[in-house]
Amino acid sequence: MQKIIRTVALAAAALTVGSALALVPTSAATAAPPVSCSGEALVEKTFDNGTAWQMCWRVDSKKGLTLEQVNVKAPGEDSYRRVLESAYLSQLHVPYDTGKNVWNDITSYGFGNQYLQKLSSAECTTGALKDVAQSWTSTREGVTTTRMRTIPALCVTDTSRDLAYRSHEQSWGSIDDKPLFASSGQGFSLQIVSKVDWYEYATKVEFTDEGAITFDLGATGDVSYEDMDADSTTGWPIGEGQTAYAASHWHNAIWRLDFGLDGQGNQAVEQYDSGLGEQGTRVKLMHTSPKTISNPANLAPVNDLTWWRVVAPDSLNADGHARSYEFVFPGSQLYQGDPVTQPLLTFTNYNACQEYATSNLNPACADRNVIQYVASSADQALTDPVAWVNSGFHHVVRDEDQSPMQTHWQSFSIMPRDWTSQSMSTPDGRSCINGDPGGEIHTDESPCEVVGPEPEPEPSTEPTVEPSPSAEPSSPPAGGGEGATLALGSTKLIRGESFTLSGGGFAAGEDVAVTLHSDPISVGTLKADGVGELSGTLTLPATAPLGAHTLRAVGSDSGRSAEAAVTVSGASGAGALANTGGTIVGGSILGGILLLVVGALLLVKRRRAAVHA
Amino acid sequence: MHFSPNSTKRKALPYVVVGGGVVAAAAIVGGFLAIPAVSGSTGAVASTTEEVAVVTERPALGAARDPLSQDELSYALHLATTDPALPENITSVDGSEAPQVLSVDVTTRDVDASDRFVDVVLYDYTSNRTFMQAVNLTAATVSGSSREGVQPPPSADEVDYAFRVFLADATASAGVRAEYTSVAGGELSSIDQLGVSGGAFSPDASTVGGDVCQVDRCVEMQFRVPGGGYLDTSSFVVDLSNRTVIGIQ
Repeated sequence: MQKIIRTVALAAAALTVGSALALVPTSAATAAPPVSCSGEALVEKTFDNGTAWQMCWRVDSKKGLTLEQVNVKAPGEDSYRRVLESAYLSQLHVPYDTGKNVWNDITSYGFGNQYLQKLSSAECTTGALKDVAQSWTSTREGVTTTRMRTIPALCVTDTSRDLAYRSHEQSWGSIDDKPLFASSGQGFSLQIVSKVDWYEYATKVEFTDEGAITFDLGATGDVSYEDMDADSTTGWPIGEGQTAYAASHWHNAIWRLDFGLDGQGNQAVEQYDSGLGEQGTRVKLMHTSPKTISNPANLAPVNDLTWWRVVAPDSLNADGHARSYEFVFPGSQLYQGDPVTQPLLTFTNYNACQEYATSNLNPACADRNVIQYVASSADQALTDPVAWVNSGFHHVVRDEDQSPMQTHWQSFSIMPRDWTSQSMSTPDGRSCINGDPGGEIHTDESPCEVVGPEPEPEPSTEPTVEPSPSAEPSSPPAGGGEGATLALGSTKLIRGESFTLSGGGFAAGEDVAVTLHSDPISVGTLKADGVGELSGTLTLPATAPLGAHTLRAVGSDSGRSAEAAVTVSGASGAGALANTGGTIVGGSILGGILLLVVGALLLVKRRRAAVHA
Repeated sequence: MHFSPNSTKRKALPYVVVGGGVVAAAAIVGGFLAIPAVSGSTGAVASTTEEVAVVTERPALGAARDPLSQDELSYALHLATTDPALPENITSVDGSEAPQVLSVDVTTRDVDASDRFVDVVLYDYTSNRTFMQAVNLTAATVSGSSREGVQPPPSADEVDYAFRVFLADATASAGVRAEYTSVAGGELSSIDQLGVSGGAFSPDASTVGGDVCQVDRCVEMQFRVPGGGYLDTSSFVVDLSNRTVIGIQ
């Protein structure tokens, strides 16, 4: 590898002179998404790590807290990228287990206007209160009068979380002699409170410096005074003895998230499921594979391993991976008594008149709920997804839930997956770690540096630095090998291709398992002959990680082992090179840029080596 | 307003909710709209309540996603309610010849649209239809749609009217009035004596009675005695289209 890089560096240096490079950016430089609000209606926040959010907020008379044009800017990026077109609570469906009541708190009452609550400063102790208008229009004897006022009703609060990450370089016997990378994370939340009959609901949305968004519904106030006549299976006794059984009930909060990932016209929904497969060397393999949700659909998890993401296939991060957001459910209970709350997620294509999950109030739509939305569009390709997210909670009332009821929260998050090539919080000292580093990490540099194995000497070009002797299978066998040995036809292994190996010192006739470390990957098994010697051909799995690794052979009976250092490369050398996130015109120019990049890195490294010398 | 009789308790609380709860509905007393304090929490300051002047010419417009100014709201109401596409015989909850205004909000549709769109939702008690007037303030145009059986939340005005219909029905309201007297003392004679929530009622498979509310505009209400508990309002709804009280189970 090092030889290749050196050659590349020279070629790159030659190419630098007079090269006219045509770099046509794609998603990296798309126009910033619009944000059509001003003043207090615009929330913009930049965190210490450089991540920034912007969005417009309002309080709708029915939908309550409504967020629109939600855009995020990752550290180091020039402009914002759209995440969500809009997000709001599209229904709060509250059926009682006694079968006597079903409430639709969004579409029958609404979370805004007269049911929006004025917040005191004591309810927003570390945040800032923002004013919201309420209006009353009355008509009597043909005369219509409107009155307005504003109340402090939105609390915007900075939040923090310890242990956003931690990575400690630690030597045996010492706790403080190497760098510690640890940080708390930052966020902010927007919250309102709405009072609908007995309950008071907090609607809260939190944004973090790692690009995540959490949607929370908190319920407090009072348990329903009208529903104290349950029995021991449909309720729970509160108050003295067994006289008053408060009815158990549901808070089925169905959020509507209109995705607009990176402003892309083409978005897709994928469902991932995991299952155990064939036997591996130690345990069974587990395979996780996607299924594209091609059409509008109502979805429930197969089991607790199922997850989903919305992905923008044409928006690639610097690693060439499609940007996406995945759903994270800490637990959502799904009410089976009504078809509309059986799905955990419903995906539809954006349709302007589908504004509420159930009892849709937009008269332009004949369909009234998510089941009907899906049924009438089931033959469409799903490319402009709106997610209807059922964050359900079954409330079995406790004595402690009496007035005022302790707030119970129900939440879910969306989290970036491959939005950026590394975490938005990656410290400089870890910035060089992207994929398999394939060498020593110098975290004392800022940004850090990966230093690969020293290259073979090249007399013609490198007179000064004399490398250490080329790598030997030097490390002693870890498993108490009594002189077991391993030799390879070549220490440079290629994914999916076969290689020869031989060895000795194993027990006569025993099976010898060959694995690639450090994450053990089974390569195969050979049988030792009558004198404990080994010879054969194995194929390196196509999934083997690139870079420097150790190949280890272990006798199944004797436990003797031997190791050899190897370097794994891709099937074709170019295949492993990173996509830089732009479209580059002309194949030869592409090669030239890659040469330039690699060459520049190598020059930096040489300079550093010279300093150290 | 009603205050908690037990002022000593307040000191033990981090902050005080005056009146033991929240009075959310607007009250119209003798034809005058009095907006009660919504929450008695200390420290928060609401603006004074102002009557919105009628605006018939396009005012200065905010950005597309900004909340509505008073002038914008009034201009949107003007455009929506004078739209010639509305039925000529449109009536409001009291039967007078005007549309009933349910809500005025900046639209949540098409968030990147550059024009300023406002949804004015109206109800016509003549045809029992909900009208959604999508008003383009920028272009001064209205695009309407309507449907029977779509029942948005009742306005405070309608809740107030429903309460009066309920109280005027001596038989239907006897139980609630008796309960009020036993809890609070005195006669229940005005919505101003209660905290009231009002919701749109549509019958479903679980309700007995109220089938007429599939088409009629019906309101169910919850009453709370400030400083006391809730009153039992589970057995009736008010049919505003017929101005009658309907028993339900």
